Amino acid sequence: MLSYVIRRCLIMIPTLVVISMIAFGVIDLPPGDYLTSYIVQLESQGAQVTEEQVESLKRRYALDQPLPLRYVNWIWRIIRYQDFGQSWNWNRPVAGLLAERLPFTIAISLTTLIFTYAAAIPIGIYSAVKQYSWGDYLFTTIGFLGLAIPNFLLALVLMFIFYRYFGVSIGGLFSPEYRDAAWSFAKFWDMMSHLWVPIIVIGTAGTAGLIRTMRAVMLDELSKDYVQTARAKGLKEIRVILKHAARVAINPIISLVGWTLPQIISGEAIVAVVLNLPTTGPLLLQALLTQDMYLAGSFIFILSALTVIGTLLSDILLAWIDPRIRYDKEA
Amino acid sequence: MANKDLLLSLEDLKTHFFSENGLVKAVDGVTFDIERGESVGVVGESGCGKSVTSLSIMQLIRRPRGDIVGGKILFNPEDGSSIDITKLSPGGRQMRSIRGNQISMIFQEPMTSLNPVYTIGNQIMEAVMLHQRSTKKQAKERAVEMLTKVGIPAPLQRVDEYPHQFSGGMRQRAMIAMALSCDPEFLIADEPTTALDVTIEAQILRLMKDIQQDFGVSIMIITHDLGVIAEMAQRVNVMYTGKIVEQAVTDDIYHNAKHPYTQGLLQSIPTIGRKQRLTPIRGSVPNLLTLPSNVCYFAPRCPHAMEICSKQEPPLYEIDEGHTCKCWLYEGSKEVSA
Amino acid sequence: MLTNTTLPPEPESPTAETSWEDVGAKSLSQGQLMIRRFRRHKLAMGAIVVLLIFYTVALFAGFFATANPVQRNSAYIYAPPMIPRFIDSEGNFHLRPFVYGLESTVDPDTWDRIYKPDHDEIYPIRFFVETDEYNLLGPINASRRLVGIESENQPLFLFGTDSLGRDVFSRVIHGTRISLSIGLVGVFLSLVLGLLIGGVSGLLSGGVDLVIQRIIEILISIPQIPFWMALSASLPAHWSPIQTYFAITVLLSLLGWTQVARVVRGKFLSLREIDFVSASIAMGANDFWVIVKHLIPNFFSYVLVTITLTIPAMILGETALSFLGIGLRPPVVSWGVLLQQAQNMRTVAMRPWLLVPGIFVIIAVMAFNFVGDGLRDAADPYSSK
Repeated sequence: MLSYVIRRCLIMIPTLVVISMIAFGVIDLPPGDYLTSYIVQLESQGAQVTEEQVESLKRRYALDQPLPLRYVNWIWRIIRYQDFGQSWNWNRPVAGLLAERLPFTIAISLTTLIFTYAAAIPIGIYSAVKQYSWGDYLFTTIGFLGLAIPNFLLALVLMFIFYRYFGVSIGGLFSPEYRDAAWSFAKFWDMMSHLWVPIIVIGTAGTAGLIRTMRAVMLDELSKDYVQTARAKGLKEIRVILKHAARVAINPIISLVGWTLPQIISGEAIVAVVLNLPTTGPLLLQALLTQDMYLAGSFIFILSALTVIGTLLSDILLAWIDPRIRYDKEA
Repeated sequence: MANKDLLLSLEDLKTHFFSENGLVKAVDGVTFDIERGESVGVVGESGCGKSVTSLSIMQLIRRPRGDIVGGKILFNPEDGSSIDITKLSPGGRQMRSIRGNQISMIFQEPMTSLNPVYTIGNQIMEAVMLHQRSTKKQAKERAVEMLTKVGIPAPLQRVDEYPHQFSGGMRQRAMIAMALSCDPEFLIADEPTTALDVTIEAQILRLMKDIQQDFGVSIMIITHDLGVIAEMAQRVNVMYTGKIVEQAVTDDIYHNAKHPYTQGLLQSIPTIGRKQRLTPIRGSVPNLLTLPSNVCYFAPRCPHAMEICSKQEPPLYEIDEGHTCKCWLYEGSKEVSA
Repeated sequence: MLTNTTLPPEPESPTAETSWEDVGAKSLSQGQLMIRRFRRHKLAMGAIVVLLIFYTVALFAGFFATANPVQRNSAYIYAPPMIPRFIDSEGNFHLRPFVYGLESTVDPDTWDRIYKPDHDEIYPIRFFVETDEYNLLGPINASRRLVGIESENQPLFLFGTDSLGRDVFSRVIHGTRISLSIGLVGVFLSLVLGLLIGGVSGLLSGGVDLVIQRIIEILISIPQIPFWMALSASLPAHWSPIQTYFAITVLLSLLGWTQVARVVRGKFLSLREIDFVSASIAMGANDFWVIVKHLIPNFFSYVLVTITLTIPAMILGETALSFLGIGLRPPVVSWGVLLQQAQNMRTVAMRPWLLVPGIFVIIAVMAFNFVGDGLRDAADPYSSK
């Protein structure tokens, strides 16, 4: 098991390297000398930029070096100094913005992932066991709708309904009185009461996909011989379904974290804009629109890296719960 | 016919399936008895209703796709009671206390009939703990004991291994261990060796014979292989399209087969030293959906087919004591009421 | 490792035990079988009809629209939808559906226009009405439209109007062109890329294959939307709508080809070892001929399923990007661009009809999903249906 974990971690490194290269490509993409535009930006804000400052910026970001060296410099500063560069818009280090926004992105993505699985697994089992029942048809229909509704549209519709018929604004993650307050139990509770909207909106498509897969895998498993063996032992049907068939069917579903997680993080980025959440999404969009490239590139790098790490964790979890994989990989 | 030694008797059992394309009479009026300590074979080509018969005894026919629509399955366990299994609810407490406890079953595919994510020991213990209310520790001891009995080497270690670490033959041994772990009175073996290599097959058959003696369990062995029957069973029921066409003791089946279908099955077995060509039965098992009623279903494939065969269904004739045959060729013999 | 990249919409590859002589016969009868199985799939057949209607509408958008989609009506800003009725305010039944004219007043506090149906103005809806000349298709101009009302001063707004008083119905109809074609063009690009890269990967195997597989795994593990956002935001703002359109399709297919490539590679690997391919090579056929002649028909159905299920993802991608304002930009009309107007909650709360284009996105995506599902069931010889 340990050797498997170590090997998986090693395989992840080239992936992270490629992702960082792509992210740096994003930073480097906009045409033009962006030091100049940065200086223009600073000056427009009324700051005086001295020759030394320009030189120090050039040195810090290796701006007069060729592309590969600029990349290496960027990575090195991230690893060595946790320096992700400077955001022009905010005129502060990107690392600070990341520290502010990223926890919410992670919290929302993780709770959505848990919600997605917590909803999809039982519904998938139900739909398979009661195949072609009314409930099955109902969930299948909801599933197809969930896959077809763009999540930002779902967010808009929910906001519209709540605003129009209940007079509540469901955007954001905090009520106004807590927005700038220090963390307290009341603030946490307030966040939880806002969290369900983004979770449902972001999770719907993934849940719909997982329900369909779970249903299909479960139907497959239910027709297998070991289920009949379990019945022949005299087990109750519910135990046959849950302890035997569902337990096996869950494994491929867990392996789908690698497919669900990018979807959730993707969805979070766009839904956050609509729902005005204090996460990375709105900042990323703003950074892209204003060509605040260090901010945008770093966000993309971190979001992708998070996805890759999440997928790795799910692989390890899968190896832990599935003896077949565990032993295959050790052999 | 009431007999103290009678363990199980099927009386005119009918199990039908309701498919999209119509009614399938998979088992259509099957009657036979199994005595205590006896091994009975059920033989026939695939699709003749052998497996459905065994699943009916276990009440494992999946509704609403299929159901037992008629007949009785009388089960007389040692405690002296007599239960008609067809009257029990398939998911009910009484049926579940019979399954795996008094009647257990082993299946054809050892590769897939064990759950891949639980250890062998865990799967044996599950049945023991369910039926014998034993502690986890006792159940595990029982599992090790059973693995030892079925000849699995290093059982203390292998009890904690997963099915994929076992070979096919070993898995079937483990299945047998599981089936016998609660000391059942009756064991149904549905093609237990079909998926195995010939050498392994011999070992498993040997094991089953030993076990029958050790445990005093009655066995119903289902197979399409008359060789397996010769090895295992004292009496044989030959099935064709959901009906029993011949019943006899094993010797009679081999040396004095009466039904053309049984004769056909025997002629298609290759035997070393025999000079004759193999004569397979021509044609194949008819589609159960399109069968007409009240005829002999074997007639289209039968070398002795007569005019009456496709006009009226033959009754069951008693050829000899304990030897019956459902064929017009024996018209004039004593008819047995089904 | 295989498990972390198993995607749900991937058809299982069948075992490759096909012998030389039954390949030709099989691919034909398999195709026929597939069509037969597909036809039994009622939902998929219904979805096909819906898609045919959508594409017909897209092709002859001008005919189905009721007005010029860029025509501004300063007198009708944010006019609500005019609902066709059969029964008038006095309870009389009209065989021919009609709409009421709109009466507008200005709210003295907010200066917003307030519209009310004018029960005295009844405009019957007529078919094949004569209007201004419009461009139907390519060089063809026409002047009749499918539905309309005959009135000099009252335009017909079936779905209401937007902030510039443009007719939402006509804009949705015209948006069909971009929204539905972007999926097709994108999928075509994905198909080309996927066939090429998947083919190379499957044919060459070894190191090349390994590298390509790693790249695909990496691409799949990347969250798509942020990437699309980054790439499309970096498109030069001065590009023409056509240039942007193609750039966006390229972006969408950049990540979409991976699915096709995996299917193609899988099929190549399973088919490579089969006798008929080696036989062709032994007889001197060059590799290209081998591919074209023997391999492509065999995995055609699987590729078809994959691309059908990729189209909706592209439609959703375009809609999302355009909605955020970094995809297609006005004056281009697509469903996503139309939804941009619905970005502001307060606007939507007052004018919910601005969400109407979303309904069309949902219908189109569902239709493609149904067709894809039907095709998958039909292509899988082991499917239970």
